[in-house]
Amino acid sequence: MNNLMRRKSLLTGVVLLLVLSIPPVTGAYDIPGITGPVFNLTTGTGHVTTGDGNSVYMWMYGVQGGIAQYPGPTLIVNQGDIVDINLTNTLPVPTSLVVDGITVTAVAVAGAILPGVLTGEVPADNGTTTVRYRFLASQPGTYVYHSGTNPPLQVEMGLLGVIIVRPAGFDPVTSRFAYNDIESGYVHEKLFLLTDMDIRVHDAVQKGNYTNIDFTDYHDVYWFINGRTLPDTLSTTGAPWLKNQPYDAFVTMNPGQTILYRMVNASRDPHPMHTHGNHHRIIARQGRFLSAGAGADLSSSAFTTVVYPGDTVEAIMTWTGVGIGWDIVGHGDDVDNPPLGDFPGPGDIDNNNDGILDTCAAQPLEPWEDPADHCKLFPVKLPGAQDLTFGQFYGGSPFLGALGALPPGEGGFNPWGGFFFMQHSHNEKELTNNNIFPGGMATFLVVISPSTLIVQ
Amino acid sequence: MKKKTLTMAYTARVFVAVFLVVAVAWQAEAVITGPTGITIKQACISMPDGAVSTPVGTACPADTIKMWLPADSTAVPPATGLLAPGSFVITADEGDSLTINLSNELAIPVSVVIPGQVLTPNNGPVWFTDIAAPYTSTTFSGIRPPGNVTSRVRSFVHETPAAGGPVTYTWPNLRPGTYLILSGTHPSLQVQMGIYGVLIVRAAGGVPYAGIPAPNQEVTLLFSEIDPAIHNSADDTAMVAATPTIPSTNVFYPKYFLINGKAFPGNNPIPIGAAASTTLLRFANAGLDTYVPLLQEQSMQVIAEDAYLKPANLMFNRYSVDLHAGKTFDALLTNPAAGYIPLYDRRLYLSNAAQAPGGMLTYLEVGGPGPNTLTVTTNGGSGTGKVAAESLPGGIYCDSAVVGSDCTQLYLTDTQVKLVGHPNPGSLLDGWNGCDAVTAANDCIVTMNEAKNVIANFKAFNAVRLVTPNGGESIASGSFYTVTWGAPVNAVKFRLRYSLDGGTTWIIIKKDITGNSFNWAVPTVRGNKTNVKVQVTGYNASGVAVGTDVSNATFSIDVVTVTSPAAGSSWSSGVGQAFVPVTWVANPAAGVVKAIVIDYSKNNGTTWLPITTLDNTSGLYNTGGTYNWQIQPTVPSNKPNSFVRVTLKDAGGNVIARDRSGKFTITP
Repeated sequence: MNNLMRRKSLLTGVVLLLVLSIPPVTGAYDIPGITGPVFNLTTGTGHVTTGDGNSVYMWMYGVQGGIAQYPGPTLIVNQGDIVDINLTNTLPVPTSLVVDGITVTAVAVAGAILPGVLTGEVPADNGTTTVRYRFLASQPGTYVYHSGTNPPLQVEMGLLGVIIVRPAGFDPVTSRFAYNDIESGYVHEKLFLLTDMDIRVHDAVQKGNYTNIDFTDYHDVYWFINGRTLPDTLSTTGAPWLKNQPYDAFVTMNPGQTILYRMVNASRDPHPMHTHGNHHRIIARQGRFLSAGAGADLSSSAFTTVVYPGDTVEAIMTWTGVGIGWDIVGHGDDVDNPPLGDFPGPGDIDNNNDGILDTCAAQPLEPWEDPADHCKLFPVKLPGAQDLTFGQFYGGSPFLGALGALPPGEGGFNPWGGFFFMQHSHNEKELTNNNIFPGGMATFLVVISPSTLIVQ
Repeated sequence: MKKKTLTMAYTARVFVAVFLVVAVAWQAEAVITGPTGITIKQACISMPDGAVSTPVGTACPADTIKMWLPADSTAVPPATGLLAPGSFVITADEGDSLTINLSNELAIPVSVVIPGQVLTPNNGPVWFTDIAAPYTSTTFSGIRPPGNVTSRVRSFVHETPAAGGPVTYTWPNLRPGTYLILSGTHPSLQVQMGIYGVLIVRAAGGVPYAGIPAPNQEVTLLFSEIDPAIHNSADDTAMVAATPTIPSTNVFYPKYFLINGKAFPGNNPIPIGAAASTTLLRFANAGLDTYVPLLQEQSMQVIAEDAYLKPANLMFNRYSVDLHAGKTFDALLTNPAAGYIPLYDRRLYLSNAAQAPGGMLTYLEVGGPGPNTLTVTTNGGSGTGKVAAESLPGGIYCDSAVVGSDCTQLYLTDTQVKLVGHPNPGSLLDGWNGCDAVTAANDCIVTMNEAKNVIANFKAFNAVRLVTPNGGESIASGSFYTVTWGAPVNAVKFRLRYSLDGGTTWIIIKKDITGNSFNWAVPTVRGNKTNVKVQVTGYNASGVAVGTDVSNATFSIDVVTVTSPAAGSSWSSGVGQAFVPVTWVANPAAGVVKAIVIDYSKNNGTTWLPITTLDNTSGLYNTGGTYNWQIQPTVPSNKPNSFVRVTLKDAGGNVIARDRSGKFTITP
């Protein structure tokens, strides 16, 4: 692996084609979705792919005229909107739509509505009936929508999605907030929609048997973030080989940037979501900002948050490396800025033997850098390459933004020299795809040096 | 602080008299309400309506589940004292002293604990010494002696012995809040078996907690579940046998999920008073698993957890609570406008075994009970069955053959109710009287804007009979079709076969089917098949065939159907005349359709004249299409024996399927 790097001063425009196939994009990123406030959705069938190569039959929401997708389209509206979701139905059974935590009225605007257990339903009439599900988006936040008809079957089969209500005054460039409070501000925004799956249900429905399934005998074997299992969680949004699963879960950031995690659980089991690498600050739950009047003063920090079925949690995540105990940029070890990973090099001298290279003090702090660790040497002498085994996410150097020499075939998943942190369900059996490890409800956050352009 | 102790020292009748007198004398002061003299008894419960009955001998009737339930010791006759899960509720006031006198008809000891209240004195725990014989080996109480490393705890507190009691359990100085009352002996089994209830303690002044004003109304929502396999195998006499059989809840597959002892649709909407009033919801979970009650579309303010009042700034608004096993939550709801609010488990335990809808689903009724009565009867025909209201807000679970069955409900105006018929084995739902509409699935829809009466007609079957398809149907190739049949009670498994040659040869659809219907994946065929029949055969529990039936007449599996021009229509010929829309529907076929040939006949099909050939390489016509045909040349006279024919052909020019329109007339 070469010491390939992108420098701000040299916009070489080299696109690295990798297993991960991340296309380059700059700037703050948002959760992909469609904007309203009127949405025309329908139901359809199709398949999703799991990380063990399986293909699972699904019932899914989709935009009318588009493809059915899992999860359903993320609907993005503004506080104060009257939101209309017009739903038609091509499934062989009636279906419907409810939103956990929001009052929704259901009216037939074409055809005839059926009374259901949670709301009015769209009959199985192949598009003849349209039911308008209307609600007032009075509170900003994140919400789950799902079928209200035979939920153990239809939610399992994939009829679920997320609604995001942006606060009044939100602006995608200048005012990026989750709630009407400055302490809910963020740079990047990422969705973690958690779902689980019992494949036997999908097999039975594909064979036409959806009336005799015993849901009390539930045994899930697949776990998803945003409709994909690991490693597909790392592929791009809109990857053509995952056409029914358009949303990715790969998180990128520069140190010090804040990410708003919208953690949502749309299915049956609680999931403890672990943001390895740093705490996250939970600022809202179930669409309510945790404040007693002075900002997010009722927020709390955790590195694992249990998201219950139907629950939504907004948490602010950041990473600075504070307290790590050594200079993660490698200022101390390598005077080149950014480091070339060739310590000791011609410019690296400690003249007064104080453990800090003479030129280090002259190097400015990064804005996010912990002054206490500036210039501190890497605490161990790395063994030689022949005494190490390598993970695929190791770039060859322990320093942020640096790559190092690796034996042929090693590494390869870390072209930026970033730090990878798994963001995953800490219910460890959920890190499998139908009993095959690794897989399941997991994705990665990669912290990338600011000299590298963010790719999302 | 008042200490009031009610004991059961009197006979039932005397006690009742004393109680009434006491109640009158103390009416200005708070009183402990609810049964405090309790006997644990064998019982049976039916699902989903939670109806409780006493066993016959030691056996519960088929279709019921064995329970160990508390019963009011004072009930006369005693069988009427059984307390269904969710109906064992005691209310008291802060500072009261509560005494429960516990008696026991089981062959194993029992006890009672109230997590969060302090049992004083507590003469337990009770240890047993031989892990293979938890109920029959030597026991001792109190602290484990030094050096003893093998004994295990059987009860957290002192016990009420088998076939014994009453034994006294006292909690002096009660704290306010919502609490579970549970067996403290082998609780993993005994609580699951039904020994649970709720204690509600009000703070001074009758408020829920100090500083929380009294709400307009309160509702208790007790969650629990039943694993019928464990229940029906639990035999208390076998647990004290020489070689004991001890059931375990380690392998736990609950099939029934209850709110206040009932599952949907066996429950009724819960009234919570008028719009804009305040309701206190007390959630408690006596089950073994976590449930997530979700209040659809409303926000409730969670004020307390495990009977601890939260600081005011931590009383968050939520739409669901994480109700783990043993947990209690108190939440305040400001009632919305009149209507029904669904409350259901968001872990989606919403079925009764394999039957949906069901499970932990109920409705809070605001501004009820509504002025419109729905009355249902199920004995309109020769058979029997049940009718359930399976839409918001439930309220009907009716079997006219059962005394006390829930066959009426009051509804708010304009509530649309969907009634579903569930035939008993040996019957089939024939139809309804009194519905405003009947759906394609044979469900009854009534709009409750006045009193309505609905009769469900179930038809008894004393022989195996195919109901659909019975002849004359036109079924799309490659589609799903619901085959239905009726059968007598002894037919428990069925085999379906179909024939493409009128019954000469048979192809298996599926065997070992249970129930009365099957969603048949109709095969994709080559050419319209018009000579199709279905056969159903019923087998008894020993696998012996007890009856068979075949479609009365043939039906067709259609690949292509011409729907226009319609039979009897009339079209003018010649340039400038209106186009005739030739429309056909195509279904999946065995073969790839490359071209569609459209032609017509003026002489009753003797000869055919071309209209056009359409290319289907792109698949444009895979589901059918319309071709606008201008009839040329002009005909000299009326041709009343005209047909249009649509032929699907494969790449080799071979016919896959063809169909002709109805007979129409071409005019000059």
